[in-house]
Amino acid sequence: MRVILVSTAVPVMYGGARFIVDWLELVLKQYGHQVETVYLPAVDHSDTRYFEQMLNFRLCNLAEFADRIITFRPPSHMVQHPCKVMWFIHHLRVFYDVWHVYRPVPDTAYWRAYRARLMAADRVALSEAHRVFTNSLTVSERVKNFNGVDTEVLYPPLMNPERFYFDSYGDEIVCVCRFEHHKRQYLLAEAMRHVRTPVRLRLCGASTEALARVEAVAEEIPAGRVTIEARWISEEEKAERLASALAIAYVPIEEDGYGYPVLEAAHARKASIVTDDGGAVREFVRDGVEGFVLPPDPKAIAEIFDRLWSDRKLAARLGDGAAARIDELGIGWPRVVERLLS
Amino acid sequence: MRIAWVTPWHDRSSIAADSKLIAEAMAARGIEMAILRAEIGDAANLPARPTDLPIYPAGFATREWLRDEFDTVIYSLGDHYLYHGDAIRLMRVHPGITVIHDVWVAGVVRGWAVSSGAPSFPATAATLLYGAPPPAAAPIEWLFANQPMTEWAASLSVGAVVHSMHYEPRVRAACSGPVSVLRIPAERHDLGIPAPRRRGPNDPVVIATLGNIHPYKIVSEIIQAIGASPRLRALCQYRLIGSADEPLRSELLELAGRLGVALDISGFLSDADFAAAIAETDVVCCLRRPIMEGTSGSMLTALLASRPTLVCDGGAYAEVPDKLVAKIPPEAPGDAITAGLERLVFAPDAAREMGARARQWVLDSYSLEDYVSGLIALAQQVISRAPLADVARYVTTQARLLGLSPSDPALARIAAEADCLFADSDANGWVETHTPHLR
Amino acid sequence: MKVLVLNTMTPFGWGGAEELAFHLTKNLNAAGADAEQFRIPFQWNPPERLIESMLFFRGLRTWNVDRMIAFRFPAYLMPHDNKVLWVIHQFRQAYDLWDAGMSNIEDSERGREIRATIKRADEMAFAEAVKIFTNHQTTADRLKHYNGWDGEVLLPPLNDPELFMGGERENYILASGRVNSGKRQYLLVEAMAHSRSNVRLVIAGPPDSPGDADALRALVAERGLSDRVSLDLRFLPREKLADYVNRAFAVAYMPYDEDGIGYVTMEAANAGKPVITLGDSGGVLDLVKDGETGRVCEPTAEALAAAIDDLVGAPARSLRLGEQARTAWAAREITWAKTIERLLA
Repeated sequence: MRVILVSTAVPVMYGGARFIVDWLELVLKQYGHQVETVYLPAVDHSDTRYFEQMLNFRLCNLAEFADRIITFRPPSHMVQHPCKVMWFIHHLRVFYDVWHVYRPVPDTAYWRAYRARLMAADRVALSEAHRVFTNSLTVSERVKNFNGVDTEVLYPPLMNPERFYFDSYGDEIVCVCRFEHHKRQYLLAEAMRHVRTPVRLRLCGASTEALARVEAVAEEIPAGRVTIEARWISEEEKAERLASALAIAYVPIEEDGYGYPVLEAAHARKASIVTDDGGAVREFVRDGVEGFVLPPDPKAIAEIFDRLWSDRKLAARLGDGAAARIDELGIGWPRVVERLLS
Repeated sequence: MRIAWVTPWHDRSSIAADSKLIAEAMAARGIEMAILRAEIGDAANLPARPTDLPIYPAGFATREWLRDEFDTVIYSLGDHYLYHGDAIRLMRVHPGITVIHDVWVAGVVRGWAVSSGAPSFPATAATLLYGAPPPAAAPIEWLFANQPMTEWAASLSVGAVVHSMHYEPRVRAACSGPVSVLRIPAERHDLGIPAPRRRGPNDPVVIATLGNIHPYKIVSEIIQAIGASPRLRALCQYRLIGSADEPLRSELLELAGRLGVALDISGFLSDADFAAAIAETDVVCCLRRPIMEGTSGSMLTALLASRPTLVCDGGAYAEVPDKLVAKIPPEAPGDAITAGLERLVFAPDAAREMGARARQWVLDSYSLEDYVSGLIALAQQVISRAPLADVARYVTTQARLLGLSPSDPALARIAAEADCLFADSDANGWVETHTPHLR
Repeated sequence: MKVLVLNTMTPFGWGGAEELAFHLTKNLNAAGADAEQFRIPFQWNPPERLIESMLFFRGLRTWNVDRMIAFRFPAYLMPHDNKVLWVIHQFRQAYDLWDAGMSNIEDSERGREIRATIKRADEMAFAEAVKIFTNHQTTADRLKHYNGWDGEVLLPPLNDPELFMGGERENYILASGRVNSGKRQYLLVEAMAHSRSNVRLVIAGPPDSPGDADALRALVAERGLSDRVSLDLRFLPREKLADYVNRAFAVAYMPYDEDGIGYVTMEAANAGKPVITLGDSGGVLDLVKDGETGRVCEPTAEALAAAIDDLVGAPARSLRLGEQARTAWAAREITWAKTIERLLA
């Protein structure tokens, strides 16, 4: 089958939402399909340009080129094809669920109207799709609530998950993700103020301005207890760190996806510590089954750090639970390929 | 809702009187209103009407200020450039809802052309709107009928209010947004004048034409029509309640003298004297050729005074039910005027009855509350369409860059896409937005 | 410097322009720039779609790159303050192919409107560009002729010169590149029939049509040359092609009135191989000088056979001609380093 994958991206900014697209291209090719990936330049979301781009992408009609297209980040879902499948991974959230929390535009009648029209336009595009998949129940619910469209959850798998392996339950809680304010690594660093066991914490990820707050906290903690690797670590390094981790922690706020870090940990048979305001990460992690779901409170987190350090059997039981959860949720490429091409 | 209203606000302007009445009523409904005085030049210094609403000179307003501080902008527009100069300037950069008082706005187009140093602009605009500039020396009647430039004002608007049905099609065709027909509130024209006295068919009769006299009120034809009827000539006095400039005034007096018609020209009157003068009338003659106003204030005044009134069967006048006024065809010859007046003068009881019912109909049909409700609904609709209007402007700009003609089929296809994505059932089709190509 | 390389895409199609854009991006990154190529689908059929396509590309926006390098219509319509055009070709259906009656755009009122819109759009992009390069004098001439704009010729370098480094030569003449009658591979086959040396001929490259391949095979059979002529008629992986070139005794390239030097010539010279060409081969003659960097013959089988025999019969001199070809090519400084320097200037 000839398939075109369409998403948006900011030139020379990699990572994030590109993985799902790039990995799918590789996998579909492995399955013998012909695949082209089209990245359309992404515009800044917080101005009227977004509507212009929605309409502009509408002018792109790929009917003649492929048997179907699969779209990802909005507004790539505006691109036209008679057999359009959407893997809808998030809305333009500042106009959706985040509107009442964080708004880059003034709360004027204009922008309220803009928001209403955006939802209606998204509904139009979603309704014309051959199928709409999302990356989580959380996103599915949002699409249902805001756009009135039913969707199917299709959890994105990892590329080559066999690169993650189990070695041991060491004494280190590991967190691998870019330093961002909303990823809240500072909660983990602050937790280390309250621990009573010799448990250690390792934070790895590309540096951003969010790093400073984490470093400031870490400085107050005795040397050797908190390790910060402020860089993009290689996949091999990541696998190695996860293999010997005691567990992982991943404490973002209101995520759309269930989180690659959680899935990577599960492939290494490690439990995940997440927070109850973490959004879709809770779809994978249930409290006491695949890890712990905690309030975003350093003391509560510290308590679990100590508990896991003191009870490796618990770490093992939850790690096994996490590994089992992958199959339970049907996370894997064969299913993804079957559903997307159905 | 925060609304800026760009309008003349001085005490001589009747548009200002309407704007004040409506704006204050909207404020009473909880809308934050700000008045931006649109007059330029000497007109900007005329005394303002008193109000509790905040008033700013529109000369200071910028596109950004209007965009960021207000949910939408209302522009009042009549055909007097000095009264509306800053409205035109702002409409071109930040279009809003235009209340189009006059069908004929060629005067403001000319004013804009002169003040912006583009004397050829009216011809260019006419070519774009109507396919060709007006023929050299085209008579005013031809211009009224064919190139009133109403569409120019409409094309600079994202929503519009018209005050009667007869010019709604012109406005709708040229405006990128919704158009509402709202009958202008009549209450300020209700001068508390007592009903006309009872009289027998042979009692002396006062026929009047209200307001300042200009040629389009065809006063000379009325004088001739009275003069043509010995019965009317014998029984009636014809009064012009308002001023007439020279040489028109002398010409009219001379004509009346020659025909033996008793004519009285009051000159400019204060509001109180104006009302007192109407109180002495029996019949009002409210004829226009051509008809260029959206609604006639003098007709409303006459009907609210319960006076039997003679009108042309055109424009806003045609919307008054036939039983409530005496109508003659718009282009009717003088003897039709004579016949119409005779009907009102020599069947006084029927005429009196007609006047009384007309008053009630005006009170019901030209209500302030209905106007305000309609304008608020329109504003809500325009606000909801504003993002769409921006997209339309974007497409127009892009198309112009590539030199596409506004009628290029690709633009119709894109408009259909935009409709499909962004339009909703309450809105005009986006396709109609061949948009502000004259900006 | 963040650079967006913007190219059009015909999904599932791949050709010279795609190779060029790919290697440009690769070499920009190797040179320390932060570059990425975006390939945006372009529809031109039916011609009516061209209007939407132009508006679509014109409507694209980006905010985070310092420079944009765009190749083809309508990619170069995308607005950017620091836009460099490297025009490989315009939309020829609106220009020379239109004049030649070979356009997909109908010569109707609407067709002429579409064509005029393309021309206006092109000229808008040219006016916006901070610099206009063309890949070729012919492209520059068309730009001047049809739009009145000057484009500076910036010949594309070899995409992957590192593959064509030469090597131990074997006893065959290589004819690489596209196979069609205009490239006159048949003349080489005929020459082999006249040749008195024991040298072999390898024709390796993608035929334009199955007919081109069949004709060549039939000719080889007819002349009874199947033991001396090998045909490898397909799109070759770059490594395979480079291997053929690096081991060749000499390379023959005989297009009729070629626009430029040609990739085949560039690859051969880069690998230090003498090039055999014909007096009417056009741009190839810029680099190939008879008796200096190769052989230039009359377009007859006999003349070609004599030239081949001459080269094979004097291996030391042939080696020197090859070295001189390499030197002459290197002197042109048509390298990625120089190219990027000019594109980012």
